[in-house]
Amino acid sequence: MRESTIKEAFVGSRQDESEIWRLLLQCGAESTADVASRPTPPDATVVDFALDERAPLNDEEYWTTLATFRNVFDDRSPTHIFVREIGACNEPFNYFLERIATSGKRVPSERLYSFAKELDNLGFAPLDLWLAPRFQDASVRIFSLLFGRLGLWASKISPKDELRRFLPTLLPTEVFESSADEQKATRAWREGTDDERVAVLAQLRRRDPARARELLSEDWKNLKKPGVKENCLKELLVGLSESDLEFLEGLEKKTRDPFTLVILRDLLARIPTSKRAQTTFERAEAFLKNPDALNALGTTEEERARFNYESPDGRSLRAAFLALGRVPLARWEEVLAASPKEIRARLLDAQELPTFSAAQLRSFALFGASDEWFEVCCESFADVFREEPYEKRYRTWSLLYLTNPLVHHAVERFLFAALKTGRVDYFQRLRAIWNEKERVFGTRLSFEYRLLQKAIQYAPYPWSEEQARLFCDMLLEQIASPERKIPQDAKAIFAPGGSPSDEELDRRRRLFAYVLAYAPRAVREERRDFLAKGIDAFTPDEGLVKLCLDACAWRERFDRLFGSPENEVRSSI
Amino acid sequence: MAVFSCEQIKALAPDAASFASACRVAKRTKTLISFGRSSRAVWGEYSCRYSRRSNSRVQIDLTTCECSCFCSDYKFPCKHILALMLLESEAKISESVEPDWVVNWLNEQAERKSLKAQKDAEREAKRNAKAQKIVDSTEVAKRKSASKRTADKRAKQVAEGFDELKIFLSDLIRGGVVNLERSWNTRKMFEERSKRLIDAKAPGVAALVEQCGDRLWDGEDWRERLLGRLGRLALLVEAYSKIDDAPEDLASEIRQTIGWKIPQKDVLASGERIEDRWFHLGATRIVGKRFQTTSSWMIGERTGRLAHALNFESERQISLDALNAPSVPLEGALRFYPGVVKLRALWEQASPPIPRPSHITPTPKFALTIPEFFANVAERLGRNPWLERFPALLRGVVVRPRVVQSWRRSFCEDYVLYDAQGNFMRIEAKDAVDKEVFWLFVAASADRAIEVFGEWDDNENKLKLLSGWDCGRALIVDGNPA
Repeated sequence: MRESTIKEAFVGSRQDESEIWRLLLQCGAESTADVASRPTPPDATVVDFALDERAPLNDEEYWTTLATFRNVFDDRSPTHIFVREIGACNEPFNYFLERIATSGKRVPSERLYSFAKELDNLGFAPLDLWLAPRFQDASVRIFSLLFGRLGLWASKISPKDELRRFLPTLLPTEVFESSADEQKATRAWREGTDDERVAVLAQLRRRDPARARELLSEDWKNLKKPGVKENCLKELLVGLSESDLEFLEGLEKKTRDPFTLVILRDLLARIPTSKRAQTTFERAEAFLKNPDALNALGTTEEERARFNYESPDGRSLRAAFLALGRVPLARWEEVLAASPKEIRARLLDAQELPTFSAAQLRSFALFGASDEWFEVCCESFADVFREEPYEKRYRTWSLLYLTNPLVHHAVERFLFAALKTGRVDYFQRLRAIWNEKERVFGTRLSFEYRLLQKAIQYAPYPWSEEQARLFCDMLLEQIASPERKIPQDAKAIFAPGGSPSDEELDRRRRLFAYVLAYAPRAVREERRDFLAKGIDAFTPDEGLVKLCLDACAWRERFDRLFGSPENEVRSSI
Repeated sequence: MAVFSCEQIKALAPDAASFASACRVAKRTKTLISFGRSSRAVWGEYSCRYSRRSNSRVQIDLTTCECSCFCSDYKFPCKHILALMLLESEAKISESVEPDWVVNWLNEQAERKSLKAQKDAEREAKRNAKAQKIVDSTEVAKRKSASKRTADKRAKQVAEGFDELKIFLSDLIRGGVVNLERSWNTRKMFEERSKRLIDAKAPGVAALVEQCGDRLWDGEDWRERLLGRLGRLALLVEAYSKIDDAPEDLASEIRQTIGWKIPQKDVLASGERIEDRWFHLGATRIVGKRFQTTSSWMIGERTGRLAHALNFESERQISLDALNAPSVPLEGALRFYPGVVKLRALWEQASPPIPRPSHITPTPKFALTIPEFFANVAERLGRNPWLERFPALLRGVVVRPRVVQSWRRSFCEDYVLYDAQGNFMRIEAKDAVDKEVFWLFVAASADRAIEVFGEWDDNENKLKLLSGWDCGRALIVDGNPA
């Protein structure tokens, strides 16, 4: 439309009726002509997106690449099952991504859907990554690897903040790799969310520990949300050295929060030249040499109540427990000049045996120890949970170990080494001790679910039949129990946070199907038959049966294509 | 008997939120308490917080696809119906005996249907009897004059409405469009004028007038757009005043634009007949207040002729065509409505199923490049300037997001498709469903040139993507992966 026509109609300069009508008709005619002769100016930005840098795999290569999953099956535990659940994604998943990357090609885009479904069947997340916007942010690397630059775009569009915390685990390579990114990292630290800050700190700490420390000290006062300070401090564990000493000691003086203090002192105890390390060792040595010294610390009710706080003078039962726990078990052996079993025998008569036992567990979880200590720690575990008053006191700490990312590798070695082939009975024993003490059914269930998650995650793969059966049974109990076992009034105290929601149940169902898919063939067939018939009083719902049958059918198809791993020599971690 | 698939259910859902709610309901055993199926129906009971009954009921007749639910949701199908379909599609519902309330409902349905059939038969018999009576010439003349009187009356009403519209448009221009910006009730003004045009029996023009007030200030070029719309309305008024001198096809086109309906029997009797092998290109479904409209596009294999079929169904009925459509192209004859553009058509045989192109390709020679398509649009606009939606079968295009980089992340600024020369068209992405379809196309296109079909909206200057093909293989059909 001509500018003059628009101006004339816009201002309303014509007054004569016929003139006005002519102007309107002119507008109509010019507008139609405009639309009809619409120019489509070429867009310059299109040139920037010339794709694709990698060629797609052909059919044969595609199937061969898919076969790389066999390595995941054979060598590693199916940890990736938990990607969607707890964000834990470690070696196997990255390994698989690397395999695709090193092939120098990408998955053909037309196979995107079917490939994503295959991955989904394996417990990997890309179907979610593709379909659910909430996963898109975490998928930058995965998409660029699987689907080339096109995938990279897709993954970058409309990201959500909620999964930002998965980035450090999903993307182990540094995002801010060079010093050129320094400014970017500083900006991200200053303007990012708390989780982003932790991620930035983790990356910086690996590359430039001093800079990370500097950033943290600058902003220490502004980290006010609960847990943020702790999470930041935990990142300092990487590359901890004497240069951090001054900074940590300065913080220790300023900090009043007991939870932050515990982590700070844990870190300080790891620096041998620190004053804290020296006093800790001296105090622990004194208690180890004279176990009865502990008796004086926790005699009255008031003192027992004070257990939750570490007294400034260090003369409390809790301080003693922490001091002992901060000393590696190897040092215990040096001080007492005895083997683990002898140490255990010596401490058996001590009045405060559970305190020593709990300290042993804590030390084992923090620093790890030899296999010989494992036997002793199993017995210590029983000690801690045998005595009612002690059990209440130390349970919080035991649970803390299980959920604390700082120590989970050590915990899995302690608790789940029992799950090695032939040691299922040991695990059952620990489980029995726990079950005996934990009378609230819901709490027991939720604890067991956590145990189970860790067990599936860290147990060496392939699982033995015994292990697979244990996992299946424990999971079925999880699925069946809310309807079957819990009386109505007990649901009110179903902790934590009431009875498992439908979503939680669904998650357990799905996990069960995955476990079935990864279980040895004999167990798979056995459990499948059970499911079809119904087990005891528990009649599985059709959804679960369908899910499991699908998983089994898929596994059989996979085995037909690539051969069954059970025919080959088992590898171990 | 209807068999539902997840894609079909998704397509049937009135919006993405309903489908998401339905998925949740289907998962929650607390909400959907019991369900069952027989060869005739699927039913379920669910707990409803706001219902007086302890449990509410939902049922689907599998033979006719009629549904009923006790909930007060204004959307149809509601989340309960969709949830029941989802459960049925996942084979989670086992066979059981029909409860009394389902049997009663099915019987009521059957009774209602037989009653309707009876009434239709009676009406037909009466009409035949009347036709037999009209043998003498005086009776024929009387009837002809009566129908002429009715036509004259409507023409007069429309002319009166147009006179008022002419004054309205002139007043707008006399005061200057600038005044619209100052006025607080501009939208209402257009709405009232639109209502007056409905009274004047010109619903097509009424819709055009209402559009003028819709999203009036959007974009920098709003003056140009508004003036263009007002101008086209003026052209229509002018064209109607000279309709007697216009050729028959153009006169028919103008009448249809104004809102005259052409009876189907007239189209079947005298409409242009084209026999071909018809491929389905894409379909959309619009759920209105009282009925739902399925709009499907087809192309003839031999003639390359595009055809637009509209199918109206009652609001409470699920489209059987959409559910049971075969996956082969249809050989048959279409009758086209009279006009200069001749896109809308009817099947010669009553209600044939909609073909779905899962194994077919539209013959590439009929697909156009972007410049060719716009030339085609220009040619059609030359014949009918009031056209607003155009079928676009394009070849050699790549669907891509236009990305803007920021320091933290990248944003998808715009949804577009390009060709090798850099010509581009913007893609409609109003809601989450549109965006999901767009991403499907991005994945399917994967930076290769593919063929796509969509509806070009001339008002919005955007393309609504429906289907996509690559090297003779369907990738996406009606917004779902093939």
